[in-house]
Amino acid sequence: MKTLTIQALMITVLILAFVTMAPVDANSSVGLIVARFDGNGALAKNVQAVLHLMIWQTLRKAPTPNPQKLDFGESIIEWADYDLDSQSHSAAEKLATDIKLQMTLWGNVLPYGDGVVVQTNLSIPRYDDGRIKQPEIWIVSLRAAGQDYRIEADIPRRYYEFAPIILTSEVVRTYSSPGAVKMYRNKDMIPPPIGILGDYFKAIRHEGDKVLVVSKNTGTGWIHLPKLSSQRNEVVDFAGGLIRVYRGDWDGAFDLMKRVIRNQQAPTTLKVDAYLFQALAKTRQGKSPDEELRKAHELSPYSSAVVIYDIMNDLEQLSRDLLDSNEGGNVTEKAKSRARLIEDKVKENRYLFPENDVWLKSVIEVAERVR
Amino acid sequence: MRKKLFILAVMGSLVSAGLIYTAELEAKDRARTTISLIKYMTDDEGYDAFLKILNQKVSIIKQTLGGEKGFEYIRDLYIEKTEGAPSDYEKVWRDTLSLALLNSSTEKRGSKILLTSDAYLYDLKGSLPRNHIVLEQLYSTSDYRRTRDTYAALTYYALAMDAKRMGLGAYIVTRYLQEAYSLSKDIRPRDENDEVALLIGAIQSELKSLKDKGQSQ
Repeated sequence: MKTLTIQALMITVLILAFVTMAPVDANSSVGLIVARFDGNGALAKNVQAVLHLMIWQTLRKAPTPNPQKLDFGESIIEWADYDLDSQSHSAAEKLATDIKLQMTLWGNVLPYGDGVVVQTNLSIPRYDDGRIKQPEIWIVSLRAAGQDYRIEADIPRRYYEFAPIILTSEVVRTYSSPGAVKMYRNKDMIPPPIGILGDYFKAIRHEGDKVLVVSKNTGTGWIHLPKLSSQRNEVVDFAGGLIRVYRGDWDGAFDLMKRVIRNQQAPTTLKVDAYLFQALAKTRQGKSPDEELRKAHELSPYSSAVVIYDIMNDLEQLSRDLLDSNEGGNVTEKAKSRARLIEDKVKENRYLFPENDVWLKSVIEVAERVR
Repeated sequence: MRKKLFILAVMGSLVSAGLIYTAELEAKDRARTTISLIKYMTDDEGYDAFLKILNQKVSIIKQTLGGEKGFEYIRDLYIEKTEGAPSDYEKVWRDTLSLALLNSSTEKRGSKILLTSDAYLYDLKGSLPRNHIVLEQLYSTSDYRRTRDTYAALTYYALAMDAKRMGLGAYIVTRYLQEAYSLSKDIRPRDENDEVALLIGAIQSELKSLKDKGQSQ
């Protein structure tokens, strides 16, 4: 009897150990960390807190309404209360990989002439982060003349630099002291405030530019997110959009990338990549990404990333053409014609790639086998 | 004795010629990764912040491309403060194997401060109509981005022209120019005298010629 009790206990312990060791839904957990901003102490800290909460506002577990009962899983927006080892992409990548998140937003606050600017950067390391699926990687699998191919395209770039945020003089004046972000009991923000946000807090929900938070200092209360600049900055939309891409929230990613494209201040590099992410989103939804690819090419006619996404779209269609062909045993004329189109595009843009580019070699091989 | 001396002299000349040839060959093959900066009769106000922008930009350029195959050498890119009279600039540029030489100054214009750089590219001018251009920005938040992007575009352009000089692959030259091109799309020339337009034109011209050449092969 005693033996049975010990065995039962051991089984319980084993089950508990298994539960503890099992990854917390590694398939869907995606996160970003906002590093401590360099420069002017209290102002830098408050800008970091505001950007952190603004990106957090873009997170969603599912669309609304949700007739398809979609679930994009968990996502996390962390913030670091310590300095980066250096103001560099490599230090930012290390921060993200150390805590198994996918990206780091970092930057600095710099007095410049008549005001203050915030320079922000995004670093997206590529490493084994434990996720089973990586929706952000465009993969086309196809079978050409008896040979299986799996062709991948990585995201267009892994380091981004945003347009500077020019802080309004009101933000500089109000947010240059440590206790500047005040918390209120209710969302109508009637004074007096119940305390300050402080360094440790968790956002619960938001309504417009008001966020309900639990702060270690003050407990639960509402804060108001200020407009940092007179012009809307693309940082929040792009970072939020990218998190949605990583979670396979294609409708949501498309919408936030649209805001980046419409933003007159957004750098061309970001607009081009926003079009490319929209193209990926459309492809994943079974729609044609031709318009987005054309616009990306118009903005950036010499970009190898645009060429890669364009050819991935052709390969996607070729894989479908080949499925039709394989059913009938022969390669259809449609598939052959698509393969010739790919060859033409490769020839036209060959000069944008290194001589022994592995991706290009695979594409050429596939096209040659099909044609 | 005289014959011996003559032979030694000839040998000496040959050795010197060899050394000169080797030095020239090394200079030709060596990537230019220095941006020489001359502070020209100027106050400190605005200059330090300008220097900070330049350093940040150079750091970002190194990190953006320095990890990619074929671009490793730009990890050595740096800004070196130097001195010299205008008549010596070309010599400084050559001796320091510079990508570009910037003669920069700040000057009060009413309530504003104007940042001006004479940017010399000499042999790396490529499609620029002359070997130097004048770049002007206000030391003001309204011109922060313009300053950052203009110097980044100039650096990418110079890197492209240097890669071309060294005979590196077309994809390397194009990649630098592509980065310069994206930045240049966000820079609006202030007026018809703004020489940043010359830089934008040169970037476009070089890219077009690379494309034409690339597609004809």
